[in-house]
Amino acid sequence: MKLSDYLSEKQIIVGAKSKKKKESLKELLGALVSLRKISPRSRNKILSSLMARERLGSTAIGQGVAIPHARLELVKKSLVVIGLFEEGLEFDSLDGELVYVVFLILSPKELEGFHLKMLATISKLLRDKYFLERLKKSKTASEISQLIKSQEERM
Amino acid sequence: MQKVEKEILIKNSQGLHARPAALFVQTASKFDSSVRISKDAEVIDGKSIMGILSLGAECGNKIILTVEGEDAEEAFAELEAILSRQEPKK
Repeated sequence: MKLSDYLSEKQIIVGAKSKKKKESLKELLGALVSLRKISPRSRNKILSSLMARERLGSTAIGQGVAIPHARLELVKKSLVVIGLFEEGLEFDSLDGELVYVVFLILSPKELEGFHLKMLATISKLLRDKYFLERLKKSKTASEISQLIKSQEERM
Repeated sequence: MQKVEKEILIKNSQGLHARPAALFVQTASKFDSSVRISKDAEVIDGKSIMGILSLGAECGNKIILTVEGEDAEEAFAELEAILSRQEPKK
């Protein structure tokens, strides 16, 4: 599985402004509404599903990264959106650190295995500390898109 | 120094996803012993959520858990319980 197959350049949001978890998820879902990837009506349902998952335990996985996710019937096609929060987000991370990069994963209810595979794909990319540092310092969506593609080629 | 190493079958119907991975790391971090997980010749640090998720371990997969250090036996027992726990299918 490749991350770039589920991520168009428009789904990379650089300079996201939120400071808190819920606002950040709303902001990223808002971007998906503008891109017509999800309907305005489904936005709140997706948000509550994401927040319900967060209440079971934060999806911040350390080193300034969070991977919120939801598997829902109203999602027809799996997708990922990346948000870069330059000033850092409060995300209840285990290590207490702020989150700078969010990989939001949405998939249809029936695709049970997708989510685990996407988590593995993203984690494999992020295990390379140099890649993660460059990702955090990126300034444009196209820079991030290129960075991901070249990392995928190397693996 | 104690070293405990054993093959474990993943029984969680959803595999080693984010929640069990986070719980595993929280538990592993309570102990001084080093914790490693290997699957298909890949070895990762058991105190890193990213590391665990990168294995993409699914239900029915086998992994090898290696715990090494003064408190290895106690740590191994707790960590093994997390890995072999069955979660109800949603």
